[in-house]
Amino acid sequence: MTGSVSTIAAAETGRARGAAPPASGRASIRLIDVHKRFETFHAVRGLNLEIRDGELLVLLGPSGCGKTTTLNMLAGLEQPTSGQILFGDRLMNDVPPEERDIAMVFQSIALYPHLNVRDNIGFGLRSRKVPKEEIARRVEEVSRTLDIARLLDRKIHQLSGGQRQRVAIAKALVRRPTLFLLDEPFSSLDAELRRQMRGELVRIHREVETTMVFVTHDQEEAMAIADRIAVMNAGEMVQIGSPLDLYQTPKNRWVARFIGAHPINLLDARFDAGSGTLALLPDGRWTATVPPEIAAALRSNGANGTVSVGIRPEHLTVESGPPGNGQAGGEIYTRQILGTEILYEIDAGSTRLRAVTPTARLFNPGDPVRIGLDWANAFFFDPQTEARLYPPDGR
Amino acid sequence: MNTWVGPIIVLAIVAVAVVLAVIAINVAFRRAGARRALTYFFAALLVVWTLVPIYWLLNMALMYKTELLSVPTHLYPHDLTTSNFVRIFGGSATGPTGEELLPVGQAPAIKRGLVNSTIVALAVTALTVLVALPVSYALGRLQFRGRSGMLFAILLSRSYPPIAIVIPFSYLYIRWDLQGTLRGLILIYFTLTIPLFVWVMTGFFSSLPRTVEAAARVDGNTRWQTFYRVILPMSWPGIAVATAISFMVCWNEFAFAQFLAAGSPAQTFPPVLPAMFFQISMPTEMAAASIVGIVPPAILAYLFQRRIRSLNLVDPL
Ligand SMILES: Nc1ncnc2c1ncn2[C@@H]1O[C@H](COP(=O)(O)OP(=O)(O)O)[C@@H](O)[C@H]1O
Ligand SMILES: [Mg+2]
Repeated sequence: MTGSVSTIAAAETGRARGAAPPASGRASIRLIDVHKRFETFHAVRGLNLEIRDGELLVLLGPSGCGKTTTLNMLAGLEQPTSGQILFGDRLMNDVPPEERDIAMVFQSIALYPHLNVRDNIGFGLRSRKVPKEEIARRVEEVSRTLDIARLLDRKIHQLSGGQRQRVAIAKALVRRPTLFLLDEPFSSLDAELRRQMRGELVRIHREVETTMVFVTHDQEEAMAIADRIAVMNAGEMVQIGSPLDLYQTPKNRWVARFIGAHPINLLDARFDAGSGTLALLPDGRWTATVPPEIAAALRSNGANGTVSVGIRPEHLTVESGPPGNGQAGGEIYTRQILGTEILYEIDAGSTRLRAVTPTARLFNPGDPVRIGLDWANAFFFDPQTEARLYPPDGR
Repeated sequence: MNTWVGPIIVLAIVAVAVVLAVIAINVAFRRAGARRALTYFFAALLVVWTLVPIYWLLNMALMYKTELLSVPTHLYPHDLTTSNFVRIFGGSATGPTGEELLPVGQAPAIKRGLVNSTIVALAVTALTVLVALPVSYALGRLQFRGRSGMLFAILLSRSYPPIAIVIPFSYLYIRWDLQGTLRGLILIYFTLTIPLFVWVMTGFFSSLPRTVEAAARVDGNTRWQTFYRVILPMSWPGIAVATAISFMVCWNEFAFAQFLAAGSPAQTFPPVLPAMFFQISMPTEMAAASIVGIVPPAILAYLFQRRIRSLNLVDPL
């Protein structure tokens, strides 16, 4: 972080001359115990977060959890009620947006209705006194990347929602700022285009090596593009880590439920610490002896009695035949063929389980099956605190 | 006999309007059902309602007074003349039988009135825009203590007729040497135009999408640059309409003008018409003067009609 102050100074003089900011030697962004209170609502509650230089960080969380508010504070559009926002070593809390060298794509696609597409994209550059020829060149370039070159002379009201969103993204990309903020930028694109844009964004990020903070409520999108994901819930950050971290070692039951293409099976199991047996379903429909290291981990966490077990649908096995040791019997309830895999809903007594299997095995609704699990892929959570008991961190 | 003619003409015109409306209804019904038909009906009614008096003014203004007095009344000038317009501006003309028609006695007052009205309306409008635009931006876009109180006060200030306060103002103006001056009129017209302008523009500003402003800030503009680079260009329709309305209010204002400036060198155009009425004057000449008075607002309305149509007035409260 040394030299960061002079870096920002350099970035500022660069801006004054209209030149692009220096591409290297920037520093990280830190949020330290940041709170945001609106009149009646505590939207962000003690956020601690370090955004590394050059990373693509995704803020992920359900709608209303404070993602946009956090982004607005990074942009300078909202002031934190308390806490600190640091760019490098510089305290940014009261620095107005126009002095931050940030490009932002707004959730509501804020384009200028009185300007055509070309002038919308170039507006930020013109505001920063970039020479005309360079603006024209860069606008052409970015509009080719985003496939909107033939829309350049249209007015905003003549564009579809998806086209507007691409113009908004182009407007940000053309800027070459020191920080990109993208608030659900792909939300009004159709599925195909969204997939395409994800790939494109990752490519652009690798190319420009600029820090990006990307907001979404879509875990699939987050998993697809992020270097790291910060999961937020109700104004707090729950967990931060790489997509695989979150998938493999969710910090608690809430994250386990939120992350993953298919909703995780959460079972209220009973663990008998003495014998090391686990009743995964009521009525003794599914009991198993847990491996010793799991039993040890559960015992050392004081678990005895109810424990919450999470098994991802893709980690359940579904086979024909009567249940063997450590397996449960069930009956196929519904089947969805997803292409390379099949999603089954299976009734096991009063509990309905979800399982995803390779297409090779095809069962029909009503078929009796046996369900098994792989202990290596099971999660154990404290039923009260929801905290993960097993596996341990860093597996 | 003579006294019957007017009402009969009016009845005839109403009858024509009704027939037209019925035809419109029939056509529209066949095309698009009851709602369209009703729309057409009221539109037709409105057009007739507005245009007939103007047509009648024009009809009178383009006749010699001898023709005006003929029975039955002519529905259009049989002997078309511009002499009334020439004469209200101080020129002489030749009558239908070759006699000389002298200038209208009020011609100097009409000319001066038009000049004064133009000065007052332009000055007031320009200063109103300058003062009221920032005020309405603040009221429309910023949250601050006392905002709705201010808006309410502004609305209230438009709720009494000028005539209700003109007497005390008249006393004050005599005292302050503002009676019969353009300065005085300009000053008092602000009390009409600024609240109106602020009311219209506050609604307009508050209806603009908020994130566009945020986007402009992030794009590198200060609050002030955002105002003139983004907010103002987005607001032209509203500004144009509010400006035009302010101008028309000044141009048409009668009560203040009558009490504070009539008979003085600062007399504006509206008080001239009643003055003509009380002197020996002919309807033809008054009609010509009225038409002249209508022209500037009509031109403004025509210029801004597209903008007015595209404007959604929003209640800023
Ligand atoms: N200006 C505001 N005044 C009051 N409450 C607000 C304001 N902006 C956002 N909120 C509230 O703060 C919470 C977080 O909002 P937001 O950051 O937009 O959520 P997200 O982007 O994660 O969906 C929401 O409950 C929202 O209603
Ligand atoms: Mg949001």
